[in-house]
Amino acid sequence: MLDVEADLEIEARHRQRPMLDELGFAKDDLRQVREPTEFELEGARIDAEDPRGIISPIAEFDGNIGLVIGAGGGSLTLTDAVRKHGGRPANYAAIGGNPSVDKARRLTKLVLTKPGVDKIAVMSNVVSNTRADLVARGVIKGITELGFEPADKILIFRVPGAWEADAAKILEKYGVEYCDRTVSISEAARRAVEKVG
Amino acid sequence: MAMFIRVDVDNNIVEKTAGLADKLVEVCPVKIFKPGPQPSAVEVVEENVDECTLCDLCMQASPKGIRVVKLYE
Amino acid sequence: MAVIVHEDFQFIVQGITGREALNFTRECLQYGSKIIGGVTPGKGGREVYGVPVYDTVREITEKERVDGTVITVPLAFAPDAAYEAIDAGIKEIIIITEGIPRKDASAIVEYAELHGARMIGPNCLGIIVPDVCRFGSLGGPAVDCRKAFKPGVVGVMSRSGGMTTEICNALTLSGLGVSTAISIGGDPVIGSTYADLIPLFEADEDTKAVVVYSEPGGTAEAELARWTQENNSRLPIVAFVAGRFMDEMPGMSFGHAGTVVNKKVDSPADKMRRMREAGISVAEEIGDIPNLVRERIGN
Repeated sequence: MLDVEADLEIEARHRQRPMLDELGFAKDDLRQVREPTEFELEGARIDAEDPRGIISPIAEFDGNIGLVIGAGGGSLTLTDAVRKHGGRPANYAAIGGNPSVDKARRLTKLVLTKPGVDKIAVMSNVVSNTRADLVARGVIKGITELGFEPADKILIFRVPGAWEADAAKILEKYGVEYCDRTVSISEAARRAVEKVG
Repeated sequence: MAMFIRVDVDNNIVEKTAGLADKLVEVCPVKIFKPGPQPSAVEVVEENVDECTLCDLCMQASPKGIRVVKLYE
Repeated sequence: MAVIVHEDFQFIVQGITGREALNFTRECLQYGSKIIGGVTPGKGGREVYGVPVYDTVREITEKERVDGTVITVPLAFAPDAAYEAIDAGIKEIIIITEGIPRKDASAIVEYAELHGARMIGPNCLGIIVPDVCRFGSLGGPAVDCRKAFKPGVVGVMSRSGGMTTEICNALTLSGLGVSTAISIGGDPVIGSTYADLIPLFEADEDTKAVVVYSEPGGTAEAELARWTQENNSRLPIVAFVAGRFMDEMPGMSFGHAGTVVNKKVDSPADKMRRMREAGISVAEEIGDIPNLVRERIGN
């Protein structure tokens, strides 16, 4: 039984700082139902350090498929689809609002260096404001900076929509297959699950 | 290092138009240009080049002085 | 006919010189939308892609008819930008900016209502009537936008901007096409909910069915279910509910700010049950939506 339930709105936390201090809430304590993991805290930091677009919420799960996915609704739908096809997501992410190349790069590195993750699935709904070419640049940058070949690490790249012609050219240069909009979200998730084994 | 985009600046041309250097610095949404090294010239900020959104505003401001090249084409 | 916008709809962009606004301003112009001005305080007198930039909204409304505005300004300035637009008499307001606290969003919604303005969003991408008008940032560059949005018979309302385009793309690929698509916003407090907007689709003769994309959190689906039952709607509705994995994770927040399961009514399972009871078809996958629509409209 609960006596009181309070809903702390993350968006308005900065206004309530004195009250939160008085109650003993640390700055990064978001009072989720469990303590945030180091992976989640690092994801939140990456998001906070660059106002261009978002990659969060970031959550850690115990699976083996690294998810570099978007956007708000696409990530929910994709996570459901991966699970439906028997896949075990290693994380949750939500690329949206057209993140910078640098933000996509840092997210890629965060997910790919998570213990137990060998490959990532880069997937999204058909994008509008987020740009497929900028996501492709960031993902490839992140992978090459870790010393890997993009083609070895990307299970699938399904980000159709805005600037998809440029994204396809970027991926072609690095030997990664580009899935166009005729590959459904469910089919993309199925292929990723199948490839990870 | 930029992997995807290269921005070429011909400062001989940029310097000839009053106010153009300032305009280039201001117009870029991802801060690819900074003033210098000479007055009325611009320098490319290498770490921002891959953030280029291909908005073309710099090339519209100086069609002859600026060239944006996609390295993946 | 179309919902909210029309062929001669002319609008402005507040925050037009920002990275995102530049992107979609160019895209809207390519698509054929009439953007008659932009506002960025301190940058009046400039021009972007041929659109004049002003310091204030009133400088434009005093000269010309302004049917709508798209607001995409930094978070801290978003409420003031909305009040400025409402005070200048603009009646259709889209707020793209994400992360506006609920208290501010509620105040803007109330202010808009008091002044007879309609607000879509915040945290949305706007409206598109394929080949007629694009009002906001749905669909990307015109060439990509036209692939996802072809004129047709299905109205779309979505709490996710991205999934608006995904669903419209599926409807377009299937040949059904889209009458009007509205990204309503993913925040807990938004200006126009499904139940607020469904009467517009009901009155639109081009719309033969409506598809809604929904997520965990909030009561919008329950309100839509009630509306369809109470109003004997002519429109078949097909819904898709994402985030079913969240049913196993009460209290966790994913997706949009409005996406959290605290109470039973928040959960995907409960939403699906209520909508089914109201006669709304619920799709298992996005790919199933076109066939469900065809079944319902007998095509």
